[in-house]
Parts: sequence; structure tokens; C-alpha cells
Amino acid sequence: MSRRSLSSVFIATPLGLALLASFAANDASAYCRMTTGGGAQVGEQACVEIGAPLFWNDPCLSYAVDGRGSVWMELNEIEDSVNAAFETWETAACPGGSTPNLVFKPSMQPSSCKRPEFNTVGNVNTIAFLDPWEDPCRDQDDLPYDPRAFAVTIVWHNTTTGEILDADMMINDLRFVPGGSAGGPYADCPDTGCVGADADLRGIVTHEAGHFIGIGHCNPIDKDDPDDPCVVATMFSMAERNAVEKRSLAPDDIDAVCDIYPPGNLDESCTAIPIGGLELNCETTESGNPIACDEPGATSPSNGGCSCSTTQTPADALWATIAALIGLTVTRRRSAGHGARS
Amino acid sequence: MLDGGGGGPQHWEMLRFPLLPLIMGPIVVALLSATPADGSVVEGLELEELAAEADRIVLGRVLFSESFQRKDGQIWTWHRIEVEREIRGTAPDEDEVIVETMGGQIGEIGMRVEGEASFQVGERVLVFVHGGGPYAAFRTVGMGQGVMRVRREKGVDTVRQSREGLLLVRRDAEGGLKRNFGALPEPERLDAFLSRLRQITAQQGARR
Repeated sequence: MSRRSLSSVFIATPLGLALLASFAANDASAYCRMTTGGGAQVGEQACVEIGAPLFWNDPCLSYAVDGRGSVWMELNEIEDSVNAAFETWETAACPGGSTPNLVFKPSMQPSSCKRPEFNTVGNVNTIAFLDPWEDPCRDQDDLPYDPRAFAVTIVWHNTTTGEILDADMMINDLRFVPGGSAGGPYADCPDTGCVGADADLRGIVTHEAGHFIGIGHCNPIDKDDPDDPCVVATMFSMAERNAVEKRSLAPDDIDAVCDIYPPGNLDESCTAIPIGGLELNCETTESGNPIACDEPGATSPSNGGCSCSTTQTPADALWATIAALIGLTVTRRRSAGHGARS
Repeated sequence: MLDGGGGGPQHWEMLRFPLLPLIMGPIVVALLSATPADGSVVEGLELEELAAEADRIVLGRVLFSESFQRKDGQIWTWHRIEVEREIRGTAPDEDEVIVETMGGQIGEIGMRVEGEASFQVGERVLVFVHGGGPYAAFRTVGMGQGVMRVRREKGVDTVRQSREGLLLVRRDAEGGLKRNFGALPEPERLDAFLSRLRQITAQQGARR
């Protein structure tokens, strides 16, 4: 989406914001949606309802698995697991027998991108395994990803409309050490359950793919009830390490995806192009030169954008939000002349 | 302002529309409480593990949150927490800790990571943090697991743990599924919980 069209959205829909701010998941269901505001689900509190719910405006989506794969699985095995995970959401049986208006088109080529990014020009929704478990672009003084995390999905979105702009899935490729660090071995486990220390990649990615399309963790009525609609859902916030149940959707997950992406006309003939165009390589230029992590952004203060931060002190937050509402854009990282984006 | 090493916050370079607050006020109010950051598959931690991995454990109140963009374009957020009580870690000349989380909002662009810790300005929290120091921000232990919320319920200060991130349960010694897991599976009175926590940290301190 161009900056101009974003500005139009901000101006044209201010009154809708108030409604969006109070938007929540279907009260009759346990599922929750991710929102622009985020926040914690605490205790008996139901879904977080701050801000606009996240969604893909054009749900014909592409993704690519990083070609360097994982130490635990062959690339084709990873792709099979990942494809099966996304397909699970795509083929959910909505009421009436149709499927959600959602199409996933895996890239024919793997990505070369272990950086979770969103750029104005050229992006890829990348799925990458990281060893070491850290952002390759982090400064030495910055801490790596949480050692207890097996995977993180980073969702870039428009803070006003909730439109998802890009999503990247990073998976910890270290070895799991109980009481130490998270990680593999990963496998596409048998339907009867994982063997040994394996964790089910398909199940993990199915859960993360739920976040990828804007679904948050569901809200159980009784988390200790094994039959609770949320507890049995893929989007429940807890799971057994070697279980495979997360790879298949429960009715609550199906409610979520069918409500957010109600059956429509989208089919496999759609064209899945990330915002800004597809660029599978975010690490090197076409000529093979490495792309520095701190290259200047395509949208800078000098050409009409602003480099600004949001705060939550009332005065600053006020200004920050106004800045967002009038469509001033944030500095982005890369110039259009360089190919790589995520 | 301290520098977490990532380049620090980038500050305003615009905003010359004095009447806009009046026009946009109602909308802005709806958005003011937005908090940044929260996908994640994370190992579930018991309280002993949470405490063992924490360099500091602090009861405090969230004063302020501010998002910034790192040089690689990622959005992170710093949260200033006013220290009310220090359960672990001594910082006699510091009455605040800065906690850093992945995600945040800058202008119309937001970055979210489900499972990351989140904070609301004004809320009372018990945080388990590591890393950091005088000139660097801390991170929560186990992402969202490292934050517990303190709320007044029925006249009693009660502490609760958020459900953030996908926690992977471990089996117990007999191979059975541990259902009632996590550092704080059920809400607890704050005073009782702090007492229990102090016992744990004292035992761990003796082992350290």
C-alpha cells in the first residue's frame, strides 16, 4: 500500500476507529484476535480488545522458507511441514462446507532471509531457522531472542487499520536443553505423536500460522478442563512438547479463521505479491554484495516522512497518534535501489 | 536517556498542527492505552526457574513506555518501571528499571510478537528480568512469563500471570502430562506470593 493510500485511509476512516477500538472476537467463541494495541490476557479477562484487529486485506498470501533450512530436517521436509501447516488453515471447513477466503501460495524458490523486516520496497514473508538464536542484525550489546523461545512470529501491521503488512516466522535451530535453551530436534512427527525429544514442526508452524493471519491465543473458560473448546484448540497458549494435536484445527480455530476470512471468491489463481513486491533475498544485492543492516530507509524525514517514536505519556502519545492519523510515515530502512526485504 | 545498545529512540521531527488534538481527540483517546508487543512458542517455566534466571525481581509500577526503531528497522519498546520493592538485585541509587520488549508502534507501522511481555502504563507489575544494567535495558525472563500483574481484587492485592506465548509443557517424573504448570497457575495474594518468592530467592542465593 502506498503512503498516499495509507493517508487516505487515515483521513477517511477516523470515525471507524472508535468502532475498531472496541472490536473484539465473536463473543460466542473462545478465540481471540490479535489487535494493534496488544496487551496481556490475564486471569479471567477475555480477549485483549485494545485497538483494531489484525487482518490481511488481500488474503492471497505468499511465504518462503529460508533455503538454508535447519540442522534438524532436510529443506524439502521443512517445506512439506510448513506447507501442510498453512494448508490446514486454508482448507478449514467453514459452515456451509466452503473454505475461508484465504489462499497461501508458497514461493517456488526459497528465501535467503533470516531478518524479520518490513520494507517499503520488496518483501518476503520468510520462515527461517536461526542458529545462533538471535537477530542477525542485532548490535553486540543487544540481547538475542529469548533462550526459552522455540519460535517467534513477527507481524508488521498498520497501527490504525490493523492491516497486516508482513509476517516473518523465526524458529530456534539450537538443540533443546531442558532447563537451558529451547530448540530442536524438529521433525514431521507421526500422527501418533513425536518420538524421543522431537518437537512437531508442523504443529508449531500451524500455531504460528494462526498468528500469521491475525489470530491470537484463545480464551479458555476452564483451562484445566481437557474438553474446553479453547484448551483443545491449536491457538491455545499451552501445549505438550511432543504432542501433535496442534497440527489439526479444533472447532474454535475454524470459527476464528472462518469469521475473519469468511468464504469468498478467492481461489488458487490469485496472485500473491507482498506489499512492495516480492524480494526473496534480504541479505545480499543482485550483485552479491551484502546489504548492511542499517542502510537508510526509503522514506525519510527529508522526503516527507518522519522519524518518530510513540510514547505513552499523554502529551507525547497524543502527538504521536496524530502523526499516525494524518499519515506521516515512519522512517524505513532501505532505499529502493537495493533488492532485499522481508 | 540510557542506550540499550540498539541506537536508542528516534525523536520527533515534525508535528506542527496545534488544532488537530481538538479535532482528533476522541479518536486519540481510544488509542492512548495501546501497548506494544506481545508469537511465540516458549518453554513453560516454573517459579523456581523463573527466579533462578532473573538478575532482578522487582515489584513496581509502569510509568512510561516508548517505542523506538533499531538500526535494522525493527521496532522495540522501552518501559520505565518505578521500583516499589526489590526482591532480588540491589540498586540503591536507582528507583527505576528499564525493561525492553520486542515490538511497538511508530507512526502507522506496528510490529507485534505474540508471546512477548506487554505493559500498560500505570499498572502494578512484578517483573523477572535479566541482562541490562546501568546503561542497558533489561529483558523479561521467558518473554511474557516474566511479567506478573498485581491487581486489587476484593480488597486484596492479588498477583496473576498472563497467558502469553505458547508454553510447551514438560512431562513429570512419571511421564505424565503436567497440566497445572507455569510459575503461577492460579492467582495468589501478593503478600503470600512475595513471601514464597523470597524463600525461593534466599535458597537460590545460598546456592549462587
